[in-house]
Amino acid sequence: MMSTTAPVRILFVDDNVLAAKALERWFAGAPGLQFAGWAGNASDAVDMVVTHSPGVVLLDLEMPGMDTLALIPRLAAACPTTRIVMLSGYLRPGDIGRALDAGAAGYIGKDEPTSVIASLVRRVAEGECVLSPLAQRSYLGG
Amino acid sequence: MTASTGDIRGPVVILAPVEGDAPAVSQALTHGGFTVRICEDVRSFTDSLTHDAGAVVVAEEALTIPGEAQRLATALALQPDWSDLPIILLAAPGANEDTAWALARGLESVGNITILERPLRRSTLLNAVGVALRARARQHELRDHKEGLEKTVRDRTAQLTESMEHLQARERLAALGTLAAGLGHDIANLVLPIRMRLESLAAECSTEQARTDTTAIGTILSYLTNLSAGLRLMSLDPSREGSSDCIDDLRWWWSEVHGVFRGVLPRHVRLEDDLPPGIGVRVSSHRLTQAVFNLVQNAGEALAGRTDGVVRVAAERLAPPGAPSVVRLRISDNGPGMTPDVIRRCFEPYFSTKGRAIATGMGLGMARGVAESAGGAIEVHSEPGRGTTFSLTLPAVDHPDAATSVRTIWASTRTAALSIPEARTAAIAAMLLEGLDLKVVRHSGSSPADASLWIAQDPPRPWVEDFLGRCPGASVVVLSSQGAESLLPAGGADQLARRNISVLPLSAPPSVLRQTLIAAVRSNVVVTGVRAT
Repeated sequence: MMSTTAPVRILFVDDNVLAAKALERWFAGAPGLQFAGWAGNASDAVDMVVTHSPGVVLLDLEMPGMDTLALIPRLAAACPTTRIVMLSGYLRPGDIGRALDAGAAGYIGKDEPTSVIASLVRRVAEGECVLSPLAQRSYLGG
Repeated sequence: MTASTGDIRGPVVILAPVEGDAPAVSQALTHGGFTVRICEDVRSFTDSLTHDAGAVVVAEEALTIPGEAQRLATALALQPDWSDLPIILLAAPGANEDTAWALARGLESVGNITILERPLRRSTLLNAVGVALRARARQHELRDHKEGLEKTVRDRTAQLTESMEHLQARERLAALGTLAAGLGHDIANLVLPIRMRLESLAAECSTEQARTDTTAIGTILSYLTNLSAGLRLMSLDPSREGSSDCIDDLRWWWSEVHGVFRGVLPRHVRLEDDLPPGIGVRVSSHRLTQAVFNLVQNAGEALAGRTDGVVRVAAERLAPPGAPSVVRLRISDNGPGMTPDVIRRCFEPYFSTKGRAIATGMGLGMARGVAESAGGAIEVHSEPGRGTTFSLTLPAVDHPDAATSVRTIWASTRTAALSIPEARTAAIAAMLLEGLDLKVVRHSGSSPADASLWIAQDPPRPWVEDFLGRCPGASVVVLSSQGAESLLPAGGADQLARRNISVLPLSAPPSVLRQTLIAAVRSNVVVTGVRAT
């Protein structure tokens, strides 16, 4: 569990460099959150988790040529204190269930307001498991 | 031998001078059961030949008139491909045999010639005519058969062409679905960084105008977000994803999809809704979206060019006596309406009043498929000049006694006590329970004093008994590291189920815990004395 005073260090795993740059810029102004880096593929992600020991990994569900669900236990094994949260445009119940079963600590929709995303990341860092409102509706019914 | 007239088509045409053998031949044939027509010259004979003649009996002397033989040859040459009219040439009695043969040779390239020499026996004439008519009948049969084959080939070719068009239409739809999903995903991927950049920018805005601009851009991005969510919602595949098969509240569904619907309507057409809260239907969200999308799109196309067009989506819950509740979802427009013929055919697959370039003819068929596969129905009411209303009647989600979301009921009444030392399982359980709108209370030590649901890791059996004794109607979910045996009463697993006790391994994955918690929560929802299951 992270200290309440230290910022939550976040690793962003996504093949979308535009999103990575925007997140880096945005996290610079988000209280309590710190952008630790960006990885665009699986092996970089594992290396960066080992190197940076981030508090939270935000992992895109669908990336070309990458089985992201298989990546979850690899990241967890690389740094057991790191918590992995899916950040995806897809909110299919099957995807959410499989991600949680694979060890994800949460599932956040990319359509959520940025304040909601930030709040959920902080909660995950404190040990909670989270579903964003849209993911919750999809997975648990509306 | 006398021919059976039942097999014979057309009359026997006699070409002979009336003052000559024509009456005698006619009489003999009529007596023999044949239909006869007499022509005095080739000109009058030609009409019969082009219509329905079965055979021709020609007296040689009729062709010795200058030009007549050539006229006959010309007329015979104009027969259709299938026709080879039998001609019986009656050689003149006592005349030079070579004359008849010369005439026959003159006609053989265009006719089917038999020479009979007069005087002839009546039976010989009848036999020859009978044979000729049977040959003629076979020509007709061959013609009919050939035409039938040609029609079959034409029909099959048309069917094949139509099938190809349908296949292409399906491929277009599948491609559009893939494109919609990809587009929705790409928009979502792009909108998130734009929103973040915009917020970073907004935080540094120093002028009122800049703040107004960033707010306006944010509003546009919200619209894009809704659009992309709707596109992704439409493309979900139920067989692949096992998504929820019902919508608890149509208003939530509408908030997700109305942006997409708005996007397919012409600029000046208004999209209105009347969806009271708490009305749910037993249809998956994306299936309903596909059906209503097609209906809204059709309505928009009917209103193209209008400045006062309105498309309205309205729902009402109906409770027919003695039958399960249903929801009627109406999609109406104030367009030109449909003719009775279009109404009759509009649900036929591939029927469309639009050009192939913009229509697949599958939209209404798909809407009907969605309604009927959900156990509902679709109807259309329309009159020319009075607009069109499609009514989807769908099974309702039964909220006891009231059209209120189950989640809303739980929220006001339910507490779940959580006694799970294992951190991840506790966090997952709390997330799921909060997602089901239960108030979650962490509890340790003995059984909780009061709760609707208790989720406990390896609780001692007496604690479970105490809890259920204290909270009748409550449920217990036991997460066991030992197995269920320690908790099994005399009645075994059935006894556990009757007492609302669920047992699952502590190592059960979140998806299994989700199913168990949903079942446990639903088993003891009590509203106005009715147990909801």
